[in-house]
Amino acid sequence: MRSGIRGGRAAIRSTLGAVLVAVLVVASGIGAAGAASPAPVPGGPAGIGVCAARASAVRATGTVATLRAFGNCEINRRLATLNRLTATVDASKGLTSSDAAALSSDIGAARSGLTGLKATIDGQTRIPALKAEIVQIATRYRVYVLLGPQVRLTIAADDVLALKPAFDGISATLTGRIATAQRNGKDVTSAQAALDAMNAAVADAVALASPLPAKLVALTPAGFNSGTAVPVLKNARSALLEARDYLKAAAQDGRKVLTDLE
Amino acid sequence: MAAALLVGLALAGCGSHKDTPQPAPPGATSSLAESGASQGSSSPAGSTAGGGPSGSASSGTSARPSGPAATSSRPSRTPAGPPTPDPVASELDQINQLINDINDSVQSSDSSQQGGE
Repeated sequence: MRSGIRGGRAAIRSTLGAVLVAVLVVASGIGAAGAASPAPVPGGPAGIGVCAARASAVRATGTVATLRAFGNCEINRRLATLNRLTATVDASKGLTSSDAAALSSDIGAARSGLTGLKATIDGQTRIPALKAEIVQIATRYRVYVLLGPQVRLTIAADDVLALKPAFDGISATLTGRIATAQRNGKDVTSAQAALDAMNAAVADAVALASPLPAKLVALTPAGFNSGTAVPVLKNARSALLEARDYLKAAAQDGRKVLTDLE
Repeated sequence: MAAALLVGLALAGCGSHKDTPQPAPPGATSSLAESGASQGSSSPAGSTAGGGPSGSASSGTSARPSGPAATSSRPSRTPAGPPTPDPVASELDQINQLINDINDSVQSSDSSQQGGE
C-alpha cells in the first residue's frame, strides 16, 4: 500500500518534471521576456515575466488548461512583438524596399504561423502533444533571438548605406571650398588630408555594411536551430559597430575640414 | 603700409563672411533629409544639434536689448541674431544623429538577443 502511494507520487513527480522541462525550454527565453507591461523595448523581448504566473501554474498543476493558458500567453507576447517589429520596419525609410519586403514577409509568416499554432494549442487535449506544441512557439519562429535582431541589424546596415549620398554631397561641397581657399592662397594641406580621411572612412563603413543586408534577410529559424544564424548575427553586429565608428570618424573629419578652412 | 593693413582687414572681413551664405549642395541636403525623415525621431534631434530655430530664438531673445533706453539709443538697427550655422556643419549634426540611431538599432538587437528564446 505504502509502496503504491510512493509509486503514485513518483509518477506525479515525473509528469510534473516533464512538464517543467517543456516549460523551461520555452520559458528560458520567455523568462527573459518581461515586466508587467507588454511593451518594454520596441520590437524587443516584449513582456519578460508576463507569463511567469502561468508558468508557475504549469509547475503546480500540469493540466491541459494550465499548459494551454501558458502557451497562449507566450504566443500573444510574441504577436505583440511582431506588431512592434512591423511598425519598426514601416517607420524606417533607410531600409531598401526589397529588404523591407523580405522582413515584412518573415514577420507575416511568423504571425500567421503563431496564430495557427494558437488554434492548434486551443484544440489540443493531450498533454504530451501540448508540451511539444508549446516548445514549437520558440523553436519554429525564433522571434526574440532571430527575427528581432534580424530586423534591427538590417535596418542599421541599410541606414549606414543610406548615409553615403549625404557624405558624397558634403565631400563635393568641401572639395569646392578647398579649391576656392587654395585659389585665395590658403594652405589647404590639412583640410585636404581631413577630406581624404573622411572619404576613406565613409568607404570603409560602406564596405563593412554592404554585404550584410543580403546575409541577414536570408536567415531562418531552421538556420538558427542548426547553429548557422548566430555567427551571422554576431559578425553583423560587430561589423556595424565598426561601421558606426568609421562614420563617427568621418563626421569628425568633415568638421576638421571646416575648421581648417576658417 | 596702411594700404597693406587695409587689404589685410578686407581679406579678414571676406573670410568671416564666407561661412554665412554658403548654399548647401542640393544632392547632399536632399539625401540627408530623406534619411533623416526615415528615422522619425531624428528630425527634431537633428535640428537641435544643428542649432535649430528654437535654440536660436531663445538665445536671440535673451541677448536682445528690450528696455526703452536701448531701443531709443539704436532706433534704426535690429540686433544681429546668432550667426547662421554653416549648412555643412548642420548636415554633419544631422548625420551624427543618424549615426546615433544606427547605434541604437545595433545595441537593441544585442539586448533582444540576450533575452533568449
